[in-house]
Amino acid sequence: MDQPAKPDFKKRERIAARVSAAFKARGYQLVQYGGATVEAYTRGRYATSDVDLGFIDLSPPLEIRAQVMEALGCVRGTRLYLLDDVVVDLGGQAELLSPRLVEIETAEGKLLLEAPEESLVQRILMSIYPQRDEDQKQAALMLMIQALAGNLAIDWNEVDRLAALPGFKIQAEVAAYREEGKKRLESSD
Amino acid sequence: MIRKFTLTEWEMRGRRMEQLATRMGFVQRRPLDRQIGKSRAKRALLQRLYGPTGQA
Repeated sequence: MDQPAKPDFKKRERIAARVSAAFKARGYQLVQYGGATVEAYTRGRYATSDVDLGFIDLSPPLEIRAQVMEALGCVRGTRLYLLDDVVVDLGGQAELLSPRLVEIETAEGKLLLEAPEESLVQRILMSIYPQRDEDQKQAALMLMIQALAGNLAIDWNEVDRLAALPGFKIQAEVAAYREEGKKRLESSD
Repeated sequence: MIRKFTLTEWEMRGRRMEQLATRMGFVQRRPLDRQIGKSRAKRALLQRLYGPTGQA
């Protein structure tokens, strides 16, 4: 099969907003999480290939999900859809740890994003567990530096709360990344 | 609590983010073979679309 033009992160944002609007019209609220959200918060410096979306509160039955995606022009599926050359992974109810979501406007409507605090803490965890991961470390540092520079609206108390959750317990790592981020920012001035 | 950004606000913030990322020299690509969380079906689809690395 011919490979399509590779979509950039802005296109992925627009597609996610398009899908969100279609479900909102049926009474369902989507939120984007995972790598594509890190991509949005780092302006494409962390590259992902797809868009992960999940539902807040109420998740529609499979039939409605399929109807909505078909109406957008997708081939019928259960979870993975291809929309305008972008892979959309339509999950069930999103399991978010932070309520501090971010809503952005795109050229195709509004898109709800996972909290940047959650993106940051998740990436720091993924940089050390299940094993050290340099890609995730870079992603975590990029988020940290954007936050320290004031480009991401981060609530540090929320970061600390998430880092202390039983599934994380990475307060020391968060502090270390924060220090490294500060040093890198200072040295780049 | 939802923090809301208009298109203009998000683009302005985005430009600052891009300037900072460029200044810091961050260029991040993450080939599919290093992404442990993706399902087999998603990997196959991404590779079919974007080639062996599955990277858009």
